[in-house]
Amino acid sequence: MNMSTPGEFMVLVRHSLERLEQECPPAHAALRHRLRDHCLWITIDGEQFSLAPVGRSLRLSPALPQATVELQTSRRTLLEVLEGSLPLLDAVLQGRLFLRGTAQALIEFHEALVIYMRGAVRCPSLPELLPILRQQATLLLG
Amino acid sequence: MLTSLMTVINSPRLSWVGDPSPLQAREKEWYHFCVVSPELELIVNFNLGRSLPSAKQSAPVARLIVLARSDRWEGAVETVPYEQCTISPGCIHLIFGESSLRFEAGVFHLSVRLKERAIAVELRLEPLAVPLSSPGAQLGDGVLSWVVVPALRAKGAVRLGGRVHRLDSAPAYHDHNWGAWQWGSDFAWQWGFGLPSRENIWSLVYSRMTDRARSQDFDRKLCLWREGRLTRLFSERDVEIRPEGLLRLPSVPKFPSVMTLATPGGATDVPRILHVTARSSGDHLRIRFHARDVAQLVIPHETNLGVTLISEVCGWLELEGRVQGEPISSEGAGVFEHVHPG
Repeated sequence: MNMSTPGEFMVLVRHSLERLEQECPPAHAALRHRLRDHCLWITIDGEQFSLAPVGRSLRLSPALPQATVELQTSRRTLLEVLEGSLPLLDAVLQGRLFLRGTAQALIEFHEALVIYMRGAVRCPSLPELLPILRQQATLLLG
Repeated sequence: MLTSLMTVINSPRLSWVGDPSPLQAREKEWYHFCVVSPELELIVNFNLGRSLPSAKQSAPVARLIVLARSDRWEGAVETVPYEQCTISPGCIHLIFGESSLRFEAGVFHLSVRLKERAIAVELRLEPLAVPLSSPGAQLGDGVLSWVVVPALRAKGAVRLGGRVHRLDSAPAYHDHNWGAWQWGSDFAWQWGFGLPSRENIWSLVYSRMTDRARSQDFDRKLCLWREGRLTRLFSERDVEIRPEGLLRLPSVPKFPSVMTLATPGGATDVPRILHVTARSSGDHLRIRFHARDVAQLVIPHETNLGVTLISEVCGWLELEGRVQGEPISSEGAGVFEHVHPG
């Protein structure tokens, strides 16, 4: 993976955040507010990038930051969690989703996740991204 | 007689064509069926509403909701493109894609095919009771009206994954709700029915509309049918309600399942036992509903980023009392619904 160019998953996250901002601005604002003290370092199937609020936006970058929360998982696991077939706690306990941060940081990350989901279900166009994530997961399983 | 009555009072009440006014944008309507056989509890809901305020235009949204409980809960909430739907005015005939509901020759015909789950329902539901209609009850700053048929007999098949459940004369319940309100407004409700099995004589419906904090009641009713005829209706101060304990389960399934992450946790505010006592003019009735299992429907608020949880609770109901001089003592299956902003 070339770390200087955005990976497929980061592009997908960027699209979802853009749609969240356009179609459910209160959720985007609440998400920015909840993450105001945080920078996430995300690793998905080996692809790595950061997510942090900057001004009125949520910035994604492949640069390694001073992260307050680290998340590591696969698209397959993420899909199961998003679709509700795998509880988040079970994913962690089964070692399929790794999280690192202080207890307070992890609580606030979880709250941010809930805000994101509550916004996502209000965005008419966001479900269009789910098949893309499924396709990426399927291709990786190859 | 029952056929024409049912058609007159139970046909769709709202119009889903044209651009809605601000009030119409809050409208909702659904046809709801429950079957409570020993091996299967089933909920099917043909649901109409409007897109959330976050959408660019207020468009009709049709959803099929199916919850089924055999050895575990299964189900889905599927949105059906509205252009694939037909709602016929003046009769009970709804087509939602490949699924349909029609009332013909005194029988409801329910045909449901979900696309994303291997769930299919083919049922004939024959009403055994005279329907009861209620004008609008206050629901926050909105209004909810309903028609209820407390007892039906279901026959047909329900396919859940690879298993087929065949039903014959299974006890069932139906209601039709419509009105204009916003999810997230200042309201909550409890709604339940019981189909006491002994001798198949009695059926009952309980409803309670309150504010969100459940500190102010807008409407209370306990209705009793004997052999399909409404025998007694207790309301308001004649009805006392007392919850006992809380139902605690290892986990609570949520539907649509994508809402699981948006509503973490398995705690509910469902009473382990709900006591309802009604007393008026020499008649008295006491029910105890013992909650056994619960699944939750999760509905995004129209007013904020919150959600409303609809807890569909399967359980067992005991009924006793004396109405119009006749002693009552019976028990049987029931489903109670607790609706509360989460």
